[in-house]
Amino acid sequence: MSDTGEISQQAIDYSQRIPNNVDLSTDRALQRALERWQPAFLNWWNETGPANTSNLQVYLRTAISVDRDGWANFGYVRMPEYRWGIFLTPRDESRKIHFGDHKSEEAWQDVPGEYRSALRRIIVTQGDTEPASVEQQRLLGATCPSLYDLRNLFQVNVEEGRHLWAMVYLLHRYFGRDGREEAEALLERRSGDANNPRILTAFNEKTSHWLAFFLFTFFTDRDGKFQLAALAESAFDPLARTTKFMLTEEAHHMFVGESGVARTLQRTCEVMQERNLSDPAQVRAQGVIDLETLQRFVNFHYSVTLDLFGSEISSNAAGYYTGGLKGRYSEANIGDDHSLAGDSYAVPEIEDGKIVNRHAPALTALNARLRDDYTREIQAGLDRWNRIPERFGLPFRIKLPHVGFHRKIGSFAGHYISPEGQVLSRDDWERRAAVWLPSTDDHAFVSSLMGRVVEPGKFAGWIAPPARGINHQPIEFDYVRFD
Amino acid sequence: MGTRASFVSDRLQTVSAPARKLFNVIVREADHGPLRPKAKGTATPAEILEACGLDVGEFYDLLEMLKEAGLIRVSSSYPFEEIQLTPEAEEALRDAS
Repeated sequence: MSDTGEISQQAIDYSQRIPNNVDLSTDRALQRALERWQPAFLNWWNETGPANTSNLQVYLRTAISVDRDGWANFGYVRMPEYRWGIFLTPRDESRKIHFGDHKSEEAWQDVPGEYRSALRRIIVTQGDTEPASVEQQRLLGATCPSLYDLRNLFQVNVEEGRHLWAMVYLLHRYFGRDGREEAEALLERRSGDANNPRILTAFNEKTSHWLAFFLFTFFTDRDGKFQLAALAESAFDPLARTTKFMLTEEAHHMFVGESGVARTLQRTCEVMQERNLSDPAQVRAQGVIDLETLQRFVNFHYSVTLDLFGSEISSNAAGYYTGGLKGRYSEANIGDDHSLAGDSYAVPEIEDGKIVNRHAPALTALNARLRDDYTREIQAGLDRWNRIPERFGLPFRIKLPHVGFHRKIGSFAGHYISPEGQVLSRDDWERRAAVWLPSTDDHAFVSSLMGRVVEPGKFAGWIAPPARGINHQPIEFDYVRFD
Repeated sequence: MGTRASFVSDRLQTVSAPARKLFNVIVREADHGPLRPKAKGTATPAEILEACGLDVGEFYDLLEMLKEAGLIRVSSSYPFEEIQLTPEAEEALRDAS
C-alpha cells in the first residue's frame, strides 16, 4: 500500500502542459526545458511505444494525487493523450538520513558535489529500464489473449513511460546540462539495437509473446521494485520521494505478471486433468503451454533477472551505501546499526569445483543481499503458483533454479551450473542446456498459440479468464474500445 | 445493537495498520471496483491491487489477517479469489452508516 496515507493530499496540477505536483510553474527555466523534452518523448512513444494504438480508447488508471485515494482514477484515454507527469510523494520536512556515514543528518534536498556523478549514474541506469521495457513490449498488442490483458499491457506501458518522466525530472532539475544530455540519450538508445542498446542486458532481450511478458513483469519488474525500494531509502530526498510513488505503480505490474502466469498454469492444469494427460507433447497438442516448457521459461527469466543485481561483491554498492545514496531493501525495518562496518554476509562462490558460502564484508556484499531478498519474494510467488497443480492433483511443481544457473555477471559468470547447483563442464552443460532453457522450438510453439482475441469477454484458449463473474459468466467489460 | 455496530471497529483493533487500510480498500472496491459484471459486494484481487498499489505478497498476508479477524471471507481459489465482507461486518457497517 502506498505509505502516503498519513500525509496530506498533494493534488496534481493538470492545468499545466506537464501535470505535476512539484510546483513546476514556479521554475520557468526547468519548465521550459521539460516542455522541450516533451515532444521528443511523444515522438519516442509514437515511434517505439505500443504499435498501432493511437486511436484506441483504453480504460486506464490515471493518478490525480499521490495519496492512496487519489492515485487510482479510471476512465477511457487515448494513449498518446495520457497525462504523463511528475509526481513525488510529499516532502517530510523532518526526514533524516538513516544509514551510512551520514546517518542522522538532514536528508539532502540537493545533490552534494561529491555524489553528483554516482547519483547521476544511478538515475540514468534506472531511467533507461523504463523506456526499454515499453520498446520490448511494442508488438504484444497484436497477439493479446483478451481485452482485459490488452488493457493491462497498456497500463503497464503508460506507467513505464511515466517512470521515465520521473527520472528525467530529476536529471533536468538537479544535474544541469549533463542531466539534460542524459535525458535526451534516454530517448535515443533502443532495446536490442546493436549500435545503441539499452544499458542493461535483460532490457535488450526480446519480449516476443505473452508468456515472456507475464514472466518479465513477475521477475524483471520485481527487480525494478527492489532497486526502487533501495533508492526510496536514499539520502537524496527527491529521489526517495520519486521512487516511493513509482513503487505504488510497480506493484500492479507485478500482479499482472503473477496472475498472468497463474492463469496460464490454471488453464494447462484444467486441460491435463480433463483429458488425463501428462506427456508434454500431448499437452501441447491441446493448445496449452505444457508445464515443462513453462519451467524452462522460468529458468531463463529468473537467471537473466539475477544478473541485473550486478556482481555479488561490489565496491560500488558499498560506496553507494556508506554515502547514503542507496539503502538495503526495507532498511528502516532492519534492526542493526545501519552502518554495516565489521559485519559479514554469506555469499556463494565456486571453490575447487564446488559451490561454497564465503563470508564477505556485508558492505561489499550488498548486491548479494538485495538479490537474496528478491529471491525470497520470488519463491513466495512460486509457492502460490504451485497451489494450482496441487489443487488439480498434479505432482508437478515449478522450481527456482540455483542462483548460479545461467549467469553472465558475478561470481558464477563463466561457470556452468545446473539448476540443482552442480558445477558442470562446458560439454556437460551444452549437452543438457536444451532441457533447462527455452529452445527456438519452445518460442515457436508458444508464439503459435498467440492469436489475437479482442471480443469482449472472450479469452485465448491457453489462458484462463481472470476471475469468475456472476454464475461463472465471462468478464464482458470493454476494456479497450476500437473506434 | 451497540455490539453489532462496534463489531468492525472492535475487530479492526486486532489487526495491523496496513490490514486496516486494506480493509478500507476492500469495502470501497466491493461496491465500486472497476470489474464488471461481478456479484454485489464482491471485490477481486485485481481491482484491490490496482486501487491500493499493495505488493502482492503482502496483500495475501494481510488478507489472511482480515480473514482470521472475521472481517472478510474469501471464496474461489488462487488466483481467482472473490472477497466479500462477512455478514457480521456488513451488518455492522450498515448500522454505522
